[in-house]
Amino acid sequence: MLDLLYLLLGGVLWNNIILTQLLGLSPFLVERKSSVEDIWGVGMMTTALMMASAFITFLIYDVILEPLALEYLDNIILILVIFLLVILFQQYKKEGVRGRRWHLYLPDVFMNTAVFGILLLNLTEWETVIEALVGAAGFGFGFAVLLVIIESINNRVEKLPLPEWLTGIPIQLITLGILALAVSGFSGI
Amino acid sequence: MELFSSKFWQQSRIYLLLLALAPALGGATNFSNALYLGLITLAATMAAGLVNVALKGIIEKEARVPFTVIVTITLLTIYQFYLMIFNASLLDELGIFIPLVALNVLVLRQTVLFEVEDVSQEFRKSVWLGIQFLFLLVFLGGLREMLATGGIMGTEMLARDLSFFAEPGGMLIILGMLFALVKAVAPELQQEREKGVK
Repeated sequence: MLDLLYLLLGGVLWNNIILTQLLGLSPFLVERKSSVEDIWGVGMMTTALMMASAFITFLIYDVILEPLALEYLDNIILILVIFLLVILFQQYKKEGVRGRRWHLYLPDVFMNTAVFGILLLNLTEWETVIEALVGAAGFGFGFAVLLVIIESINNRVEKLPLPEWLTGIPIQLITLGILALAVSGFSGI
Repeated sequence: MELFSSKFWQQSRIYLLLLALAPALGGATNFSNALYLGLITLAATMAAGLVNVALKGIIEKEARVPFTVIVTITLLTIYQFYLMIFNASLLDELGIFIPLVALNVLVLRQTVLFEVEDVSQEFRKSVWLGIQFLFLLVFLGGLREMLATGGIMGTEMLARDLSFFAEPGGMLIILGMLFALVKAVAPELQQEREKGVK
């Protein structure tokens, strides 16, 4: 039980995929105006995508690829699973999600290298399905929390007397850098 | 498929180059790694483009993006096998960043080739983008190595090293400051970004 908690918290803090591996940066390299609710929805969608793809690829890897000694196919299988899940998510969007504008961010979610990255890094590290699910959820929450932090900071920066050239992407990246330094303090736990 | 409508990929140059950095930034820890990653991205862009041009009109509209990604990732897997035999140390250093090239915007953008009339112009444009991306990545990787170790490829350049820049946080701060510099010195680039190239 403690191991699972360690996995979950690790994904948010000291193993945070964005701050320690610089993966999944694409949402932070774009300027956009959106509400915190929208952004939280995007984060949760990415979390769901990470959990679903971790679950499916873990089973495929364990049941099909490893017994048949086909591990070298893992990259292709991972991409295919992620792609199929994104298409499923798009169908869900068409059903209508209470007027939220999540579909605007769907290309971001697919191109988001964090989803592919956590699978590449951790698929062989996770030992059970539960660990895979919890670990993926941890990484997803870490991503969602960062998205919300950056969006809230953006909303505040607008009211500050900052020079024009520092607003937008520069301040987002510098804030992320400072957060990364802060998070590296947890690495000893 | 509206998710990958061609309009999205014809965004302006700076927007695309910035987005293209996302999968490669973590791997560009020093000059040579950045050079390798940039070259791999350029080669993958060209290979995906050539395959797409060759099969124009055959691939269905819905299957275009998955097709491009699968072709690219297969080629990258073959390249990984090559490295496994001939250059295992490079494979260890680049690690997961080789398969991640398949999700690079520059590679995904090659799906535009299925739709445009003037294929050769579009192909040359994407190769030019790949070369610009290579220079940008090498510049960032070299800057990071210089600040973190005090020199590039063993040549001493700074009196002392700032090991803070070897960490991911340092890279993000460098990138943020560079972008602020670009924005302060050349505001017209910003306007170009808003208008878009097309």
